[in-house]
Amino acid sequence: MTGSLLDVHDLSVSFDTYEGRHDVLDGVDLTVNEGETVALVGETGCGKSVTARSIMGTLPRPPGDITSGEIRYDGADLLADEAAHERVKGDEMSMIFQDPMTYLSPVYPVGSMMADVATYSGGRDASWWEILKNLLGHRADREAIRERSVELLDRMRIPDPEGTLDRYPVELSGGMRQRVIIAMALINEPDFLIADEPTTALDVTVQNQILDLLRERVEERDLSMLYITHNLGVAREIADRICIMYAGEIVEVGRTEDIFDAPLHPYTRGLLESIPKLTGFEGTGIDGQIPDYTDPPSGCRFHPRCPAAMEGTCDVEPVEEYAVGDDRTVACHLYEDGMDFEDAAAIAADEATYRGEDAQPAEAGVGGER
Amino acid sequence: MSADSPEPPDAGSSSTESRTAIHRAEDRAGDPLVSVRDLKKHYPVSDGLLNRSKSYVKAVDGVSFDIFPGETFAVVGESGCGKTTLGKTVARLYGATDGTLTFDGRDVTELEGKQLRRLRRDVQVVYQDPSSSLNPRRRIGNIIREPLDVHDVGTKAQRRDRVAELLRMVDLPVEFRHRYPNALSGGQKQRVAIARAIAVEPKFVVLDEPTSALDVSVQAKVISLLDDLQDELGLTYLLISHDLSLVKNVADRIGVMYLGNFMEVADSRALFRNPLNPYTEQLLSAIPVIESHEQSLKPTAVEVQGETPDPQNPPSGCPFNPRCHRRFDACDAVEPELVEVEPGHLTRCLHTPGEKREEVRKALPDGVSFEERDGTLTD
Amino acid sequence: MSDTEPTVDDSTDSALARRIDDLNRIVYRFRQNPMSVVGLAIILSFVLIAVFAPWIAPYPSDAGHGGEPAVHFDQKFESPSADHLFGTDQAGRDIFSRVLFGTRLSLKIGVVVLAAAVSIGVPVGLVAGYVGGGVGMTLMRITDVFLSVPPLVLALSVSVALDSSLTNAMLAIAAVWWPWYARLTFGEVLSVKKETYVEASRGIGATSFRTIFRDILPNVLAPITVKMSLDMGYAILVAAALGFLGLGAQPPTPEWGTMVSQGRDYLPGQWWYSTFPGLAIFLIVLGFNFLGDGLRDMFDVEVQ
Repeated sequence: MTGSLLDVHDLSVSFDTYEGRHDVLDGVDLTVNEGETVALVGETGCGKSVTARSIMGTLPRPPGDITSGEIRYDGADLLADEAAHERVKGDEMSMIFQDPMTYLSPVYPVGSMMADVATYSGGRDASWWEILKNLLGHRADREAIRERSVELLDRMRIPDPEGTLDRYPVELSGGMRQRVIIAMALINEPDFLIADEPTTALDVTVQNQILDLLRERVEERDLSMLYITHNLGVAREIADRICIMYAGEIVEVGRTEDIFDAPLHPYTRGLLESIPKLTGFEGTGIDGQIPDYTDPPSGCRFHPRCPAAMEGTCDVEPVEEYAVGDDRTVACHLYEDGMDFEDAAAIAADEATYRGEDAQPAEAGVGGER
Repeated sequence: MSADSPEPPDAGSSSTESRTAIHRAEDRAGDPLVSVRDLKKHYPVSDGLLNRSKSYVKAVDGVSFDIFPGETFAVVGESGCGKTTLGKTVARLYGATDGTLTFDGRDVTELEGKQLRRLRRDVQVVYQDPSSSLNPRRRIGNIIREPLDVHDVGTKAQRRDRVAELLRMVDLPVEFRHRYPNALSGGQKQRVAIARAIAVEPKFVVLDEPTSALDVSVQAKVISLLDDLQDELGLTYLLISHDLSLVKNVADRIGVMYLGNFMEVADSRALFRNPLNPYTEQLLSAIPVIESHEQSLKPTAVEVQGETPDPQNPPSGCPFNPRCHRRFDACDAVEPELVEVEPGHLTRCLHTPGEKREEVRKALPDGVSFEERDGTLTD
Repeated sequence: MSDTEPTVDDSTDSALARRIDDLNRIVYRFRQNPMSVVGLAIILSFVLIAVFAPWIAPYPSDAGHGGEPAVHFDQKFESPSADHLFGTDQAGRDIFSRVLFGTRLSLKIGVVVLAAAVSIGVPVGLVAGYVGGGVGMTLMRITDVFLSVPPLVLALSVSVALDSSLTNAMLAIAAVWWPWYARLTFGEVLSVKKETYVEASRGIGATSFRTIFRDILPNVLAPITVKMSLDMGYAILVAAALGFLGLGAQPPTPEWGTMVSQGRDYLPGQWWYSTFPGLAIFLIVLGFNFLGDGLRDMFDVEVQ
């Protein structure tokens, strides 16, 4: 692995509740290379946010508990070295959140919040005198910060960036707020961005504009990004590589175009088939639901829902990540380590399909017009 | 099932036979089940402390359409376009500010009290977020039985059996009746909501973003369940959605809504093959795609820009003009009418092609003419 | 837990098991806060004492059990001893027995006052919140008028106007207490009313009455319960204060506040006279507070 910036290895996280111990993450491996955007894709409750929180060091502990694994950023072991974690969190990483309104304070204008992020981030010690001075508007590098903020907002294509600095979040539209959030995340020139579903709350037309902007900024500064989403269409737009997550395990990793052209893991295939497309909709979906984390299925966690599950194998033997072809791993017993990509694709097409008992024609719809 | 229930005297044509008959989109020739004419829903907004000068948000502003028995009519649009308000006004959850609403040949715009509650037997709603549409303190069985209790359908034992039957119809285990909603997953909760909606055998169901709160793998299942139920029970749907890929696959006809009004209404196939309105073009071109050949089905070279303006302060002229890639001078002066360009295909745009252009011009107020303002129309 | 395979039928056992599981869950959440367990233990002890007072108390007749409180002037002002754990008062009555019997009175005051306050306040809040508009406005403004008078002053004037007696004291306290319930309920109803399930209830065709009782009331009960538990203590405290001021229960009724007031004249020499009833007031108020906090934590968790 050359040039890997973030390296999560064998990360396991549990939560203690009334129902017992939830083994939410089970040996997650995740790598983000320098200058690369990786999308972590999974459905509600699959553990993608827990992964992000573990990386950002914001996992509530207890009830959360990191039971094994390591998170390395640029060589430093973040779980072992708290000081390094603080430094990395403050200086090198930035996070973009899903809902701007819960992240932005309603009582401060945009400019003041941006200035605060610029001044205080990184857990830097600030004396109360300094804070008081800042509150009263006598910030030391006030002009410089303002200039930088205006430039950033301008780059986020916010009309009238000067005026926007003096506005309150409620006065901005959803798309504009998300642009402000991204600008804020960029103000301290981080190297690494974690984006947690930043476009989920937005309309498609706005989502596209935000994704374009985000991609532009990331490319321009050669940032690395971990983009968390449940939307495969969005992942396809933004990511170089995609990690598919199911029930606390990474089930498939590959280059974006490879994943979409030839999904290997039955779960990935099921997800892709579940999405209504302009070309048609099969409406088969995946049976069942995410397992109970207090008692996850033995063997492969996906086997109870898998159409290709093999009795005696999938429900018994734990899965490992198999490297298939070039830059591709899949955690599924259908495949073998070191297999040729073509062979794997053939197996996928043969076995991992969802045409169940009532196979429907490709364009069956609710109205049944066709 | 409904044999046990006394038919309301004024329910007229709602016989059991017609409810179970399967209507397909092809026989749309008959009378519409739902007929909406010039429907308006305005909300008053008070400005500041002295709310003397009341202004209005025109959430729905003069919408007209018909829904025929057995079909799925979809309303698509971005958040804030008024689609949910439209759906709930059509379902008579909200009273209309103006216009008429006809259900099964009867004017139901002004129904109140007992008569309105009786209408609920025929008109049901499935809400967007099943976590909030089910009372967290009632068991699933009670939630599904509620409409039967309310409308006094059957005996106690019959209702109990009906609840079990409904759970089976939506593919849920019968013992779920003892659980509370919190113990269910999102998809299961939405199935419960669907079971509740079909409990009293309605004719017409308003589906308000029924899958947008669900995970994709579950969405597909819920959609095919709704599809099966439509066939089985002969339901008519009004589907409210923001997801064009979904709507393309499930709707017979589609109305594209923007700032309280339809911009385009067409057969599903015609809308995607030949979008006439620039707003529809932008929506289509923004759809995130999964397969590379989906790309070829989207309009090309349309730059998507801007955001929905504040509905309290709509732009003058055509509501879409500030974001429109085909905008020209007359657009902010003249509000275009929705005109039928091809049979069943309506659009609201000054760029209306073909013979209808004359009609669009005639609709212009005195003193505004195209020739004076801009020549682009004659291209 | 399969999404797709419906099982044939369910037995009453599974329903019962589910109820037991619900109960276990509640107990688990409740026990997360150790203070609430202490509170519950204190309150349960007081309840047991109240029920079994005639059997526990060494001299039930001193507290007026079975007639007027007895007097034994030969034994007056004895300091605490094995015979009289809390000593005796100016009429030679056993203070321990009187404090035990006072539990009955205090709990009765708390229950009656809160029952009255809740049965006025909650319906007012429900109607005002659900109906809204002019009706809601009017009801809440009336409530505000009551809220604007300091509670003890209002209670004092009511008891003075109506003659000093325990019943009138309870009436007076209820009169100052219901507006708080009206306001709490009103606010809760406003927020629950926005939930989709209330709209759904209307969409099904339910009457307003049904919607209020099936869908709104059960969802506003949690904060009301918490407030009731916290208020039990305060109601007892206010009743004791009225008793102390001579406006509540009249001597020789073994009411704690009245006893503290009587004992005041003999401080500091006969310190036990005021101290032990005072301690009892302190303990019961503390117990209800702990319990209320625990309940609030429990309901908060449940909401998540």
